[in-house]
Parts: sequence; C-alpha cells; structure tokens
Amino acid sequence: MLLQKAKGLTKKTKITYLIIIMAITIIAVAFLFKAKLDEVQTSSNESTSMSKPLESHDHDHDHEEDHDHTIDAADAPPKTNIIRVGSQGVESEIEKWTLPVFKSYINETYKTLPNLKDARGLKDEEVHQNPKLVMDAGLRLGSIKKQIKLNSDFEEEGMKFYDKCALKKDGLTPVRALCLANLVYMKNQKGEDFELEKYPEKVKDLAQKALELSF
Amino acid sequence: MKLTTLTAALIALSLSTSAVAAKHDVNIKFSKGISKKQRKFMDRDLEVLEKLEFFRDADQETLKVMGLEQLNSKTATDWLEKRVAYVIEETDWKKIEKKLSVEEKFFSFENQSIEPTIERATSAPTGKGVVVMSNLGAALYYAGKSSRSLLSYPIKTGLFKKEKVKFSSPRAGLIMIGEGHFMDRFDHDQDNKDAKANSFGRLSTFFHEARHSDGAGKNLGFFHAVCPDGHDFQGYNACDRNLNGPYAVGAQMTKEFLKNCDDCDDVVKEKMKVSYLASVDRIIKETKKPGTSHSADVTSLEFTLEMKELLLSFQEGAEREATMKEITELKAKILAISESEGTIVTTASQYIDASPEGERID
Repeated sequence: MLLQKAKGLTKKTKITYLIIIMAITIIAVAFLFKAKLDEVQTSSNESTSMSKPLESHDHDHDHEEDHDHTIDAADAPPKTNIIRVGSQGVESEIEKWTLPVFKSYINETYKTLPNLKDARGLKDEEVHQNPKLVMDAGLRLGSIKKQIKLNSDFEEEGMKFYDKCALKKDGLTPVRALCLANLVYMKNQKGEDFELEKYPEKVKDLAQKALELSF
Repeated sequence: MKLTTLTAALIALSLSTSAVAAKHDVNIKFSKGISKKQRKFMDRDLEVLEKLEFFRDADQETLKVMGLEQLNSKTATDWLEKRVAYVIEETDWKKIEKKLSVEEKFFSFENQSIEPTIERATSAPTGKGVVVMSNLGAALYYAGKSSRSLLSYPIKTGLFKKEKVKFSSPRAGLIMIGEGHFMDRFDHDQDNKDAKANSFGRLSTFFHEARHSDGAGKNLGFFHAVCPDGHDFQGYNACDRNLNGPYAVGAQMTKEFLKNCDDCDDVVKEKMKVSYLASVDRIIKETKKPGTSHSADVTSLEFTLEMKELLLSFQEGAEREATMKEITELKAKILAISESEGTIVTTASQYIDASPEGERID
C-alpha cells in the first residue's frame, strides 16, 4: 500500500521523505545511545557508592567537589558485605566487629565529631540545609548503634562513648542530643538510675525530641 | 500537507517516549535543562512519595505544621503541588536576571505596603558553596513586588515547548535544584543509591523549600531568621523564628518518613534522626529583646551596636570578622544588662498563618 502510494510521488517529495526519515532515525539512535550511556554512568556511580569504605569526618569544608575522605585502612572497621540488620534482627553474623575494632572506631569517632569551629567556618549556602559534617556524624553514630545491637558486650563501651559525646562542650547540639538520647534509652532498658543534671538544657531538650522516635 | 502530518506524527512519537518515562502523576514540571540523571532521581522521589503508604498515624504536630487534617500520599503530593509548579536546573543569578521579563508594570500586589521580615546574617562567611535547592519563586515574587512589576521567567519544558512562570504570588512555585541535592555524601543510605531513605532525604528538602512558597505580608516567603547567639550556627541566616516554617516542615516530614520506613536499617535511621534533630534545632522557640525603657548604659551600647552594624556592610575579610565578633559581644552585653535590670522582653515563637498572598497565574 505504502509502496504503491510512494510510486505516485514526485522524485523531490520522495527525497524529502527519505531525508526526514533518515534524520529522525539518526536522532532516535543518538537519543538511545545517550540514554544507554547515562544508564551505564549511573550504575557505575552506584557501584562506587556500594564499595565505598566508611567515611571519617571531613575537615576540609570546600564543598566544590564531591570527594569523600576516608579513614586510614588500618583503622577502618572490616566492612565485609552489605547484608543488613533489619527490623527482624541480625541477618548476618559476619558484620560483627571485634571489641578492639569497636573501641578504635569509637575513639576515632569521638575525635572526628564535628565541632562549633567547623560549623561556624562553613559558607552561608552550606548551612541552609544540613551540612555534610552533621550527616557524617550521623553515619558514624549509626555504625556504632548497629554494632551495639549486634554485640551486647559492646554496651558498656558504647554508653561511655555516648556520655562523652553528649558532654562534648564544643560539639554540635543535634549530635550531642542523639548521643544523650541513645544513652538514656540504654540506661532505661537496663533499668539503671541516671542523673541528667550534668548535661546542658539545650542538649536535653533536643534529646527529648529524639526519644519520641523509635529506638 | 501530508509531509507536515507525517513529520508531526513522527516527532510526537519520538517525544512520547520521554513523556512516559516518569512513573508518577505528580503535577510538577521540569526544565529540559535538568540532567537526565537528576531528573531520574526526582521522578523516583516523587514516585516514592506518591506510592508511600503512611501506615503509622501522623503526629498532631506534623498536621499542625503542615496545615493538614491527615497525612497520606495524596495529601502530601497535593501539598507539594500547590507550592511547586516548576523545577529548573542550577542557574547563575546573572543569567536569571537576563531572562526575566516585566509582564506588567504597576501590577497590583496584595499587601503592597507591607515589607516581609528579612533578617541579615551577622557572621556567616559568604561565598559559593554547593547548591542543594532554593525557592526562586518566592524571591522573584518579592523582587517584582518591591518594584511594583509583575515579573516572568521562561522555562523550556520540552523539545519545542517553552512556558512562562508569572510571579503573581509566592505560590508561583519555581524551585531551582543544584548538584548538592543529589550528592552521595548527603544520602541517608550510602550503600544503595536508589534506597527509599535517600528519596526521603531529598523529599524533606523539597518540602522545606516548598514552604517558602507560603506566607503573606510580614511573613511572605517564610524567610529564614538569624540563628541566636549560642546556637551552633549563630549569626547565620539559617533558623526560623516561628513554629511552622521551612525547618519545622522539613523536620516533621523527616520524622514521618522515619516512622514509615520499616526497611531502613539502624545506620540509616540514625542518620535520619540526626537530620531531624538538626532541623528541629533551627526552630527558635523564643526571642529575647531589651525592652523600650532601659538605662543610659543600654542606650549607649545600642547606639554603638547600630554603628557597628552599619559599618559591617562596608567591610571585608579579617576586619569584617572582627566587627562581627564585637557585634556578638555587644548584643550579649545588652541582653545581660537588660536582664539584670529586669527590662528584657521575651517573645515566644508562634505558628503563623501560612496562607499566601496573590494567586498563581497558569
């Protein structure tokens, strides 16, 4: 049918049709190629993120580039795979750290917790949303919490860390508050008495908000 | 005629493939200038929101802050759609200015004579950081209102499609996204870029920015306040002097996402918690100011403070930093004296009316 119709067309119209079809084909191929390329780039970025070691707090606040600093390999906890500890409990024993590794990690974390000087040196645009230094601290607190849940033997060391973190005078309030909330939660679970006077009001107020969340 | 029809049909066919790519029905338009990678993440985020089952009841505080009767995927997406109409790529301010047009001079704005409260940062080092997201609509509405002109901005939303946003209300809803919004380092789940938790993080920022599309008169745009002395970010324009501003919205949405994220592990949840607390910490609960009747000491210090603040706009570098430090000290001194004299006035922050002024012109 189409061929019969095409026979009736003038040579000029046929050439025009041909050019249009060719142009559209080229554009379509180019689009498909670019889409494929984007997909490959995205998945390559994802695999980079999957294999990324645990981060330390970054003291360099020049956020122009997305370069993440890592802690020394010797200090890095052995992150063997990405099996998760879900709400159903431990899925893999392999993620458990040893006590020396845990101790080393909490010491490193305490040293690298963001401080007021770091925060007040940030550029105005960086402060509008939660800055990287706060999120990095969250990641470290998350790893600590996960290990405490995996190893009840780490609880004492964990609580000591939370206490130090909550009392860190030059520390950032949300980080201190989350440490205090974890400490309060653990003490309550153990049924231990606990004095709150030594913690500043602003840290206690915010920790109260944290305790409204599930632990 | 046949040729035109054929060409149109082929073009329509090629365009339809990109149109069906989004797996959500959220009515927010994206500029063609946004990279495919960023667009993919934003579509994914909106899809997550649209399909999210809020299986735990929302906090009363969330409902109060958002002005909602209930929170579910429908009410949450509607809330966002009312405040965000377009998303554009990171654009230099000079380029934005160049593309702006005056649609109508002497446009009749609501509350024309009322200036919004805009606090000036006193100690933030200025400079270009990484852009995450910002609500240009509210800023351009205010710019137009100040010059009594209805401004508009063109956005390319398709291969041959250009639309015009008219800033007749802060609800014009023009949001600019930057690279920072998608960086791995801000992800809640660093092991899985596509994790729901990462969408939650970006969506909380989106809700925060959307709140800037609200407010009228003095509260137009819910512009941020300067964080008080003693705050982690003292002197930065990074706090809210109300209980339902952008930081409260972002915080409450983070809390709701956290409550409804059963597949988030402990590491992710801890990051979301710190993110929630960091936003809550930006909400100023009360403001202390010296009262009107005070001693000669306070009057003299206040005069010095005014002079220093005036000087600040002409200074740079170390000189500026030294003046900032003096300003902070002066303020603390004034408050301390006023407190000892019993003349201090404490004002508790309030939930403010979020109704916007003007109406969006489509």
